[in-house]
Amino acid sequence: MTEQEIAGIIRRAADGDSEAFRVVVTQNQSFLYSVTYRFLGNVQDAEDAVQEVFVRLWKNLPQYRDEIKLTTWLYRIAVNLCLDVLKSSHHRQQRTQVDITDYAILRSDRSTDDDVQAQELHRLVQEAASELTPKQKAVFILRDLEGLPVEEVCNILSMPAGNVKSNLYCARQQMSEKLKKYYQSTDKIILQ
Amino acid sequence: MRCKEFQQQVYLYRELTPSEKKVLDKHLTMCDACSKLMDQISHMKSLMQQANLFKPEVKNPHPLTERIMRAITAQQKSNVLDDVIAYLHSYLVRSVVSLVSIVLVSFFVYEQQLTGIQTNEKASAQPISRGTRLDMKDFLDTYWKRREKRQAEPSNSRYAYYKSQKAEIKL
Repeated sequence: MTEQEIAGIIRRAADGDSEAFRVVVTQNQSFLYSVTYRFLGNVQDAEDAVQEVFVRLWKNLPQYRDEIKLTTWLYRIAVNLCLDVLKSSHHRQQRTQVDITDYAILRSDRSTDDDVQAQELHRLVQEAASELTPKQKAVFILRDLEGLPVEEVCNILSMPAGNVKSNLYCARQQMSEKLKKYYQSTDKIILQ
Repeated sequence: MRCKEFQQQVYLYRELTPSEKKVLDKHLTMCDACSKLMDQISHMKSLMQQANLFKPEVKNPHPLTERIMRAITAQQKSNVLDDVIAYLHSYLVRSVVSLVSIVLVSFFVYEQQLTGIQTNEKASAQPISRGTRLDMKDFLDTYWKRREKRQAEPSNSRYAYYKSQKAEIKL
């Protein structure tokens, strides 16, 4: 889809066209699910968060302006929502281990042993990330896991570049310490 | 560059400018300890790339989409009610309702005063009749007259009998 087509769909959705909004949902729900899952760690919470993000988008779509990208706006709503959920005491009580079975393997040419190692590694990364502060976690997920550029992370979090970088520094340092224990103890060869 | 400055920047290596990276790379050629730290960070980066091969994906995207659209439809219905309530809460509507209330209360008070003047004029010429404004003095006069009439007539109530008996005992 071209940018003009996307802009047209957003305008129609802002005017109340639910079928146009359905197109917006189908185009964006996958990356939103990825972000919310990385924050919240389970399927139910992630799906609830995605639903709430789109409901909030629907309510505020008439105020949407072309100055910022829709994906940036969606990321911003999702991150704020996830941080609020993480702060709630209910979520802290309900927090369980990360459910690896809900993940899809992107590379199909990997052997089973590699998959097991990668699964274990992913579980460690998720558990280590859960011990970061909310801002560090947000910056780490957006920059290192979602792969967004620093400028977009600044836009999403409404943070100056200096704050983003200092949070990123702390997050990477802590993650490095936690993962160092893993690859030193297992003595595995890092796959390229 | 000193080792402390290197350690403060190495974790943000990917975010550095090419000229800043050159300075760090030059320090690596001269410092073994910082080279080991760089190796550790590179290993961590490889592990993160490995871990990132598992990207969370919705198992069944269609049901999630339908669930979201149902929530949107419910939101559309509640929006109509919100619009009505917001309209009622608007400044214009509140001002109009306040003005109408003041007019009605003023009219009521005026009518009451008018009725009161007419009643006083009529009462001086005629006895009190029902449907006019309540006058406490007239009410009390009527009450005392009825009480005197009751006391003059003998009562058949048990209370009156015991009361009279008690009075006789005292005497």
